[in-house]
Amino acid sequence: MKKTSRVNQFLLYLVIGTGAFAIAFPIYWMFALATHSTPDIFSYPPPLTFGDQGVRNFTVLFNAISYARHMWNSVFVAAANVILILIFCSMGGYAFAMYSFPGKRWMFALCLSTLMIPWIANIIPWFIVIREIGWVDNHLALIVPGAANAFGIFWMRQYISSSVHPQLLDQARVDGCHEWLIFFRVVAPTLTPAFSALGIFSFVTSWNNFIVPLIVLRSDRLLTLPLSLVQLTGDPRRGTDVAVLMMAASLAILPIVIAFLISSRKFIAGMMAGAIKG
Amino acid sequence: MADAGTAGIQRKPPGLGRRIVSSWVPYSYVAPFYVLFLVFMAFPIVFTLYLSFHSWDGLSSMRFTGLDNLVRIVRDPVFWIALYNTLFIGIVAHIPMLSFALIVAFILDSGFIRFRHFFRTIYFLPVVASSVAISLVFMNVFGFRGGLINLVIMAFGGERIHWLGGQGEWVRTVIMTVFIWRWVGWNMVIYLAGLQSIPNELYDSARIDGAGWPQVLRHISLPLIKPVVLFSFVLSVVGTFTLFDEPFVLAGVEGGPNRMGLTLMVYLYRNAFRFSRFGYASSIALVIMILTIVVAIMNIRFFREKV
Repeated sequence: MKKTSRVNQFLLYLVIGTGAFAIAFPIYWMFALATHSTPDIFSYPPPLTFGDQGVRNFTVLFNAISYARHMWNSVFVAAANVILILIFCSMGGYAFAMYSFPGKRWMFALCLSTLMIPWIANIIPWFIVIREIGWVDNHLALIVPGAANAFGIFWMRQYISSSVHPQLLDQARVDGCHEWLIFFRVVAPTLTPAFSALGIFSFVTSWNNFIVPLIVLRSDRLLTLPLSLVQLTGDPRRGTDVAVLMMAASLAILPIVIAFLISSRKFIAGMMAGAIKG
Repeated sequence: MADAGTAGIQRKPPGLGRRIVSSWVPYSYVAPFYVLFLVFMAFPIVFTLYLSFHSWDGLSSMRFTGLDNLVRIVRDPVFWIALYNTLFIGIVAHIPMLSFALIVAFILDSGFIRFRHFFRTIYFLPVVASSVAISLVFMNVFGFRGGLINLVIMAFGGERIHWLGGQGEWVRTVIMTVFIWRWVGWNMVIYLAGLQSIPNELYDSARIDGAGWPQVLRHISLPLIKPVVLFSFVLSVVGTFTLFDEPFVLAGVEGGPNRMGLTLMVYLYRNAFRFSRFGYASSIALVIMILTIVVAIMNIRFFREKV
């Protein structure tokens, strides 16, 4: 399909380019607004290019609220999430891929069926459980419950069953490796590609999570970035300093956007595999 | 018991008990998931059912109220507004989103276009961006003064619109725009993967038979991509039943003017965590779960008939 008229080709570029522009422009504009003052933002016409108030907004943001602290909280919670998810989901996926054991089939079906349940609708009793454990206003509530999830287990199982040969396990057994340690000594080091895809996915999910921290966290020093942003919008006395807010929003998505642009191929491939095979 | 019979050729299989004991390694590997599942998923789901028949403020003792919550839900006009908004957003937003995602996927798959990876990356970008940050940006995009959309409208000589204020007639449009903006790339990438998995021989033989691009599209690509489209549609609709971040930020916990931006999940949150009506909020959770199950059953039926 090489031959097509110039006009047609131009039209295709027009459609796809307009869409790409509509998607990219709001993100660009957020970064641009972060470098203007609030009165400028509300002037007519609004600024469309970068201004010179970036440093001022940055300073105000880091002085007025515990933004640095909130960013650290987001990093900490997301990193803890990633580590636990990688460990527990790869263990689960490995068991389902390489072993047969009584009840395996219905256990796996149960695991997959949890993907279909809108878990978040059960946030009320979930919160009660968290309260009974004593994890209200504690980062553990954001880290532990999702440490082993169905998506991760399914994703690791798919990868392990297609990439790990049973001979590898037999070899390790012959070499005298304890059955329970085979996974950690022999299999886990070969799973790097699957780890990076699931890791990126889990990091982003945790970083962007809003409703769970909204319900669980109370004290200012524990907030994560999305809560920090919402907190910035709600100052009834001074009103919202939109410029500072845009700076905060920009800084909240910047690390993810940069990481995504660097490794977008890997990231998209991971997300797709998870969605299609489901 | 479980798998006896399948291994008939081998020696007499060991008893179930012994097999369970000897499988302690895989059990210990899957144990973390099932422990967390029991505590944080299975129990909450059962407890939602239980709570929806009770009145409870979360602190004092529960009072069994039978079907009172259900009756209250049916008589609660705000619930119907939230349900209507949720379904409206869920259904209406998908039509432009899925068609555009499909068109872009076709264009990228056709091979007429260069910079394919570049476009794919741009379209996928919103999927990884924080929904709260994005909603805040769109508050500016749809701002009354200094908003981009109003700027364009005024450039064409129109009257500027009170997108998030006024009588609230535009709030849903804004929420849907943000929703479409966020997820169009995700769907597009799924379709693109589906299109690229279609074997090239099919295209080749069609071309030998003299089929042009439109015919190939209609008779090969579209029918083969249909299951993927349906799958992502169902997944996405179920996702809108619990839409929370965007309406919460854009319209607020009260749902904006005339509650035009109130969704079920925001209403649930408001009842449970602002007014401590845990029992009533649980009935709303029950409605969300029932909606999901209905869609899932419809989906299974549909797939059985068509595929």
